[in-house]
Amino acid sequence: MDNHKTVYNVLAFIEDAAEQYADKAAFQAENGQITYGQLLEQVNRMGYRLSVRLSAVRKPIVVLMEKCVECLVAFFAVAASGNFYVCIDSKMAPERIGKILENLCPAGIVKRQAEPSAVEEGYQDIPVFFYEELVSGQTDLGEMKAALQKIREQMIDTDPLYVLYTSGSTGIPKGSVISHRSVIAYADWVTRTFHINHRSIFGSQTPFYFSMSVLDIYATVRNAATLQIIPKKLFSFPIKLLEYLNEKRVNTIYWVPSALSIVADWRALDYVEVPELHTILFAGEVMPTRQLNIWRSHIPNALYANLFGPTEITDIGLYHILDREYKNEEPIPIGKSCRNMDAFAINEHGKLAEIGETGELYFRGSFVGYGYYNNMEKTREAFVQNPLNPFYPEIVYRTGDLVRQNKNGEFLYLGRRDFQIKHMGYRIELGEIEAAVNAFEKIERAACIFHSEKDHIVLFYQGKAQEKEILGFLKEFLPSYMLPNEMIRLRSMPLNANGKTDRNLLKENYLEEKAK
Amino acid sequence: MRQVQIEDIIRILKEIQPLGEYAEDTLLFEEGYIDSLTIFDKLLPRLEEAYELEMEPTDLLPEHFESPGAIRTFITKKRLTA
Repeated sequence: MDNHKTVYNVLAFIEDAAEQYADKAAFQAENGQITYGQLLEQVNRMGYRLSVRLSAVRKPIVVLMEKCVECLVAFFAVAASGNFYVCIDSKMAPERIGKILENLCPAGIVKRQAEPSAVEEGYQDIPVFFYEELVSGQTDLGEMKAALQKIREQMIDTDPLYVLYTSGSTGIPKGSVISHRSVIAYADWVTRTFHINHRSIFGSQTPFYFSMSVLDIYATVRNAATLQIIPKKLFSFPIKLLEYLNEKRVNTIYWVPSALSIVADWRALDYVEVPELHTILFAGEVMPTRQLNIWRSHIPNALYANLFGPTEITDIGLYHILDREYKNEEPIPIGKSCRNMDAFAINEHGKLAEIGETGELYFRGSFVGYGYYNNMEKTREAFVQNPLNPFYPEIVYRTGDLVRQNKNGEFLYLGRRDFQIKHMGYRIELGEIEAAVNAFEKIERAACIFHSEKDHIVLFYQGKAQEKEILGFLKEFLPSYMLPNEMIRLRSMPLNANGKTDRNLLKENYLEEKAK
Repeated sequence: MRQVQIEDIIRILKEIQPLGEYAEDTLLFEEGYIDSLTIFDKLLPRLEEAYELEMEPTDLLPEHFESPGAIRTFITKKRLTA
């Protein structure tokens, strides 16, 4: 890709790729694939037909599909029609889909004819467009080209490309609005930092409604690389998963730590070698160092990087490429700002936090989105004036995450502001205790809650460990005031809709039991 | 050693996902009754406990968990070689 060319629209990625690599596979899945040439052709045809039916631009269009090649085609087609896409998985809870549609009021829904979904009833006022109809049939090429060009000329890089919903802590989904410009800047950063090129073959794990998929999709098309959509089922069968990576010659992965941990815990790397895999990126949760070290011992020469950031800033704002050995009990840093982004921490006095001082993490720069769709209230809470800038309007994103810089200038993730407690007079991040517990190899999952009345730190854990062993282990790493006062072993940890530990439920159940 | 009964397998599955309709040949993944969260955190621990087995990485193959009948076949075989 020409480094000096200014890109105003992500569609330029596909156009360039189709020019040079028309017959190369762009996206591949179990049941089909599409080349760059075919992709451009279908995107244009679908985009044109959508635009004819909609007669509107800069509107939200829902793409209601399961994870598949067609879903990606639909995303770009919506962009070609001059609108922005909103990915909703057809298997999502109907209640959740309902709340999103209520907030969004989309101008249309694109879905496949064969795919059923809960949206059939109750949303008759929203026009539904069938993928199969949009992508096939006769089109006057001349008319199409002229119409698409007209739409394109009126699009600017600050126009929204998509809205991606995340769950709000209060239960109402929030839709982060992200522009072409942010995604172009982000794809640029990914390319340069991890040396993505046309030989890259991505193995996609995350759903398309998670912000991590933005890296997979756009780093791929920007570089005419190939995206393999790994069948979800394989993440239950680690040996099969690795065999699949080999079969498709996947060399680049960007997965959530749970997926990497399953492979590590089940010793799949003892059974299967993955010689092509050279780039292993992870984000979304804390990556337990113990499991990461299992990967590193099998694939020592790969590039490993911890990436960090919220959906509100496209995907990532901080990163750390592993450059040394890390002990099992040592948390992996979330690192330093991406080039052309600025991550900074503000202490409780509203000033820049010093090295070693805890502060709340803020981001500023081109990856930062506009805020939440149709939710000014929540937007104003999190997208605020830069506390360090009283001179001109500058919106920055306030994460609610607590961080601290080590002497290398690398940020360490401490936890959410909400999980900060005062215990025995000390200010404690429950996340720190959990990190220490998770380093113990007999622990599968751990979560801490705080019973403020009794001033008790309660540890819930899943694993074959005994209380005495855990305490013995923790005493090596935590000051006495951070040791759990109570430990409860669970057969399995309750999880919420995002696959993360449901701490609220743990606390509820705990308080109920105590009340009896 | 008591035979592995299909009813016991189905009972375990119902504990994990009570809303499921389970027949011997129900396709568990396709119907969404198990996924990578439930298989490791819920299904395997219960099977290990119920049949006093320890799962190996090589046990984790799609054909072993395709349906209640497949699970029964797999557990039966594993007990014999344990």
